[in-house]
Amino acid sequence: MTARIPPSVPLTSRHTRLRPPPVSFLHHIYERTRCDDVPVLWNADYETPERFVRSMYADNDAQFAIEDVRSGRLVGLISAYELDLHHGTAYVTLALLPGYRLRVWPLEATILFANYLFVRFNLRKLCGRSVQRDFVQLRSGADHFFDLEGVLHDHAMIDGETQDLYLAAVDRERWLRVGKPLLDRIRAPAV
Amino acid sequence: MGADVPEDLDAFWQVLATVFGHSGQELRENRDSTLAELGIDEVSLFRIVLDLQSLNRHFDIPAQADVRDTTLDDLWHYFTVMTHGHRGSGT
Repeated sequence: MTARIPPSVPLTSRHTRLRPPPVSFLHHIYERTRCDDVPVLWNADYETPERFVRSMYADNDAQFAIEDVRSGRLVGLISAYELDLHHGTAYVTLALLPGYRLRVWPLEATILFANYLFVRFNLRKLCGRSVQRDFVQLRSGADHFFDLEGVLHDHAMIDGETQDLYLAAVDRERWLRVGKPLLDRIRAPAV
Repeated sequence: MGADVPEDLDAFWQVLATVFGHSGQELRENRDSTLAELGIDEVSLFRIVLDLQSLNRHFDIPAQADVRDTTLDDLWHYFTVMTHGHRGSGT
């Protein structure tokens, strides 16, 4: 989906910048799917790099590469899928390159992206699915940054073992109360 | 926006106590523990950083820092260096 970005929607924070993902970056991600330590999203068994890149464009409704503003490196991808304008919902996924997964500053991109989605698409609610392996890094955000709405037990098959799938959501009320105030705090200082 | 220099450095421990759910005194006694050992994940550290930036807008942690190798003492160090330009005793 290509949409004009309203000028009031910031895409740069102190440490991150959201950019349209270059094809070359998606190819780089495809290479990383050969590693063990990659998010489940990228572990899917794609037959060819072209098919992987095509699916990353076709299966997502809004998507940005996350750039480290200090180095200019692209460190991850943040995407929205299953965008439903009737119900006002979308699913969000964040995938960081292995070397950046435990860092704190890339999380600024989630604030920028959530704001982008709430403003650009006037959504009611953002949702996320996370398998147990990844949720351990997010768990403490429950009841503060997001609501934990459910757990599907033994739902996902990861590395030959079943794992629980966690369903999380941020509705507009929580966003306005908790998330939106953070936006001003993480935004890049005016030049 | 917070002031450049907090008037009371107890505010530092108060921010951590709020997120950790422990008293500031308990945290002081575990200052050599890593954040991961104290049960802190990336999301909580993100919250801590933002809350400390409301006390001192210059506060930040190194880009490569993560919860496995950052201790409470490291946080204190980053906070006091950014605030006062020297390492504080933290007591």
